[in-house]
Amino acid sequence: MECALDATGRRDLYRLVARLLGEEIDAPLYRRLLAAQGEAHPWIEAEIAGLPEQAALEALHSEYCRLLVGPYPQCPPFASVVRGEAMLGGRARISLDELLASLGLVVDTHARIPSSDHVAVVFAALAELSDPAQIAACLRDVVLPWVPGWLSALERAAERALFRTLARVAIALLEEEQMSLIQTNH
Amino acid sequence: MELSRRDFLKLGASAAAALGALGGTALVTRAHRLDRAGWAGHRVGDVARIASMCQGCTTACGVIGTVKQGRLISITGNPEDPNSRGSVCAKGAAGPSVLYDAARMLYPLKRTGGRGEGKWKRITWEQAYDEIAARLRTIRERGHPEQFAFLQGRNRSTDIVSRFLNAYGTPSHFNHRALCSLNRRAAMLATVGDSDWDLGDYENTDYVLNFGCNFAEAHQGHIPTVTRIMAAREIRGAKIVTFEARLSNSAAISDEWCCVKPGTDGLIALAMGNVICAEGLWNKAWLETWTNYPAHELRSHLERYTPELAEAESGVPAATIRRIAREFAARAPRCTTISNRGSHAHWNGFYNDRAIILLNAIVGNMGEVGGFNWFPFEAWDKKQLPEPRPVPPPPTARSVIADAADWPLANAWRGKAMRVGEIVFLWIKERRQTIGALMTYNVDPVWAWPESELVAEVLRDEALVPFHVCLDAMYSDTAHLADIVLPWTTWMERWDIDARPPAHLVDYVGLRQPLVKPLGESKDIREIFPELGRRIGGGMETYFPWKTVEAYLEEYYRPVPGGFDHMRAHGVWQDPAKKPNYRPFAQQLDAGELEGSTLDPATGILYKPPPPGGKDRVAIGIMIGGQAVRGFSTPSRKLEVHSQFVADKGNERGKQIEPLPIYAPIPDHQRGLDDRLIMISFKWNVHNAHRTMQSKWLSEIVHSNPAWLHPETARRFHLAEGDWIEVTSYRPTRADVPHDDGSEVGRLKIPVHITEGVHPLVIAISHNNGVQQGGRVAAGRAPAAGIEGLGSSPDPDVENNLWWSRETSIAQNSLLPIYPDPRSGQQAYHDTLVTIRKI
Repeated sequence: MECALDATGRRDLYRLVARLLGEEIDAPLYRRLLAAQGEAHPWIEAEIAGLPEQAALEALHSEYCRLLVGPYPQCPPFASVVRGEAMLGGRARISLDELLASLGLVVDTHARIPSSDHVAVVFAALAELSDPAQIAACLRDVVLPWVPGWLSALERAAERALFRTLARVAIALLEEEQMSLIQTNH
Repeated sequence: MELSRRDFLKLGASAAAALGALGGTALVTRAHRLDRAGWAGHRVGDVARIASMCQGCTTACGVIGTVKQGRLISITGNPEDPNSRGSVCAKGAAGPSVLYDAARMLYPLKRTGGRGEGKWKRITWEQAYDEIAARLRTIRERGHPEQFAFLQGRNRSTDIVSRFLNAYGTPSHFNHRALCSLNRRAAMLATVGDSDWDLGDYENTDYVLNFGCNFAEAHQGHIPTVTRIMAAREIRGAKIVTFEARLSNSAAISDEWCCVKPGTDGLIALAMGNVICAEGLWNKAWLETWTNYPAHELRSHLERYTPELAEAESGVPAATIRRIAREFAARAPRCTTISNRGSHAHWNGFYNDRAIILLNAIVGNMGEVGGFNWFPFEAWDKKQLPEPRPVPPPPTARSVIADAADWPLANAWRGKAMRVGEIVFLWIKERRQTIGALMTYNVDPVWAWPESELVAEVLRDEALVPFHVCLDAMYSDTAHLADIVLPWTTWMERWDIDARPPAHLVDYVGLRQPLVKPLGESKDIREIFPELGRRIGGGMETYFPWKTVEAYLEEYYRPVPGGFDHMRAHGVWQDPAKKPNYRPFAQQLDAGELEGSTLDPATGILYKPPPPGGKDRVAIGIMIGGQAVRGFSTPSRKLEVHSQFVADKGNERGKQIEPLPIYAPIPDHQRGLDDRLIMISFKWNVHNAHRTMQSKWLSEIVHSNPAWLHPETARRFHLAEGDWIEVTSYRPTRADVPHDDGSEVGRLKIPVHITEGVHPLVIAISHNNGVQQGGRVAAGRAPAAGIEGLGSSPDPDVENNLWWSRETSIAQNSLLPIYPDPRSGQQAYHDTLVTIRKI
């Protein structure tokens, strides 16, 4: 079976997921998603799209906060938390940091994430990888143990289409990635 | 063959030589000198040991943070701290659980729905600063700076808070002192004058007479105090006697626990004083020399306070009162009292603590080794380490709420304004002062304050509080009602210059420094306030000229040998030239100090002329026995058994305040309790205000608060262990407090714990529970009472490992009426009358 995404498409989609999970949507991206959305799984539902842009963005920012930032986020986006560690940024963060270091990657200092085991970092790292062996290692060691489950939880908790669709897209992307690796024996 | 001793010695010597030839490792070798300087400021590989100060509570113990690759691994005590001497309690040790709490607030938030809806969006600091500065600038430019109100909880950054508020010009600086230690401080100031904080010389004492102080758990200096009391017991065989309405852990480790009816400690102290005077066990010479009241008149005054009267009121047998009085006097001067909220957080608490302090004067232990002592300041020596200039002047605007004029002693002493925190929201509701903006800092009044539902009602009302900024590390019931929430750093991520009342009677200075970089975008007020000051402008910016916090502290610590570098390496400094503050009143004034002074022959007081710009001459000492000595910092320059000062303050406000220590029975407790009980509150050692319940480690130790009832009480109400009751609380009646109409305050449902460790007239409930917006770990839950808590958690560690999730955790504070001591404003935490019924 042929891969549905080429390398560029794959990278761009990872970057989109990382972008939408790593910080609140801004006006330019909001407009692009409005233009790009499909009927079956819209990025922006009619209720939001019908609002003045500023009000729409505020509604989406509020949802982002509720899901990912807090107080008491519905879906804490950290590997250390999702994997049941007692404290934020423990062993899971160290594992991810080591992986990033081995890949020659660092988290941008301006990123608005408090711990590098944030789910957005995972997708941002995948966007930078092209070597199948490295992708396989990343999926095996860092992604698959917790990210798919987290994405499912995000989809269930989300009250806005943006995040439901994002979760579905990310799940599909990871499944596609796994299929591609199987086909290339990694 | 019999061997002689000499033969044996020869035999041994040859064997020893054989051993020596073999070599090997000696069991004991000479120890190298412990390089205590290496305990902190020390790095081995990627592990650093960083000295700092805890702020799990107000005791501010010196700590060492062990940090590996930028991650805090553990908190232990700093042995160089002369106050805590290397000890640290669970609250400090649990630091990592607070620092790395996944639910910490790490970004500025702005609400998107109505107040209290819980809808937020993340904003940038730039946006937060812009909005807050604009709001505050508008208020200031309108000419009513007092409309910006600042309510602090635990503030160990006193310099920067005062700098910001004074530069702004607002006097509306509210605190929680009246909910904490006001009466104890007022009693000290009225009697001793030098200080508002007594410091028994516990380590050197032979007898500790404790009135209502939970020194092992909840004292504002518990680590320095309890370690010294325990040392005195172990080394000197000191005896500890505790009077308390409940068997606290402090009472439990005492030699005797006397269970008292709440509010009667002062009467017991007066009865003891009566016994000591009547039996000639007093130090009459000390009284005659150093107090302002004739000894024989004091003895007459005390005659009415018989042990029998004290027994009838308190429940403590008269014979016990007599015996303990004699024991106490027999140990003088190596004996001391200690007291705290158990004696002073009452409607009559000011008088109670005056009576307790008096006991020490009667036996003449004041200022003695092992006796009752104090220190002139409760922080570092601000003459030795002055605040870097320029320092803004105090505000000239007035705040009706801060002035709290209805309580004559709340702000009676210059430089010791204590305010009356529990009336802040009531007076805002009554519109006694217009509020344009409120900033709450490290405080959760929606949970912590008496009549907390009133607080919530006021904070929800945007007409009363148009703008509310909450600055805290964790989300709270108060943050839930804010417009902007600013993420504050934990004590492990910030700077402070700090020090506490020295239990060893020599002042010191400490440094709180970041153990790790602040998580997320959390910031400390040392960064926030200068930035806001610059943005508000209008001259405020001139008081924040330092580019960094480090630059400011570098200047502050310049007088320390080694300066800031020394502080960063060691965490503390104590001037080796300073001596313990024993008998400060007897220190002779030298020629330099006496130069320019005049003597008032009527009083013996020595005065200097008014300072530049001042009107009044300044008392510097007193003639005692022909010597010019410092005396006490009171109007008479003597220890004031009789305080005309407090009586005059009362008269200014139309209130009668007795100048002598007396017993003033709590009105409601005298009218016949019938089926009512006295509700008291208490604190656990692992918790502190709203700041600790979110910690998994600490809540795992203490997470529930059943109501303690005596077996007699349980029988009366047909209750068994674990039964549920409904508690209904009432405002006092005719007690000279706001709304003293006996009306109902609130109700709660709670299970009971039956124990002999509580007075039969008392129901004791810990208040360290039931935060609703503090996350799943802290949240109140009492399924049988319909309080379900926060439901399932997305954090698997909480969801799977919160083994106590069905335990009862209920907020008590909503049941407490606003109940200020009419003289001082101290909240009477332990006087509320309640009814209970089985449900």
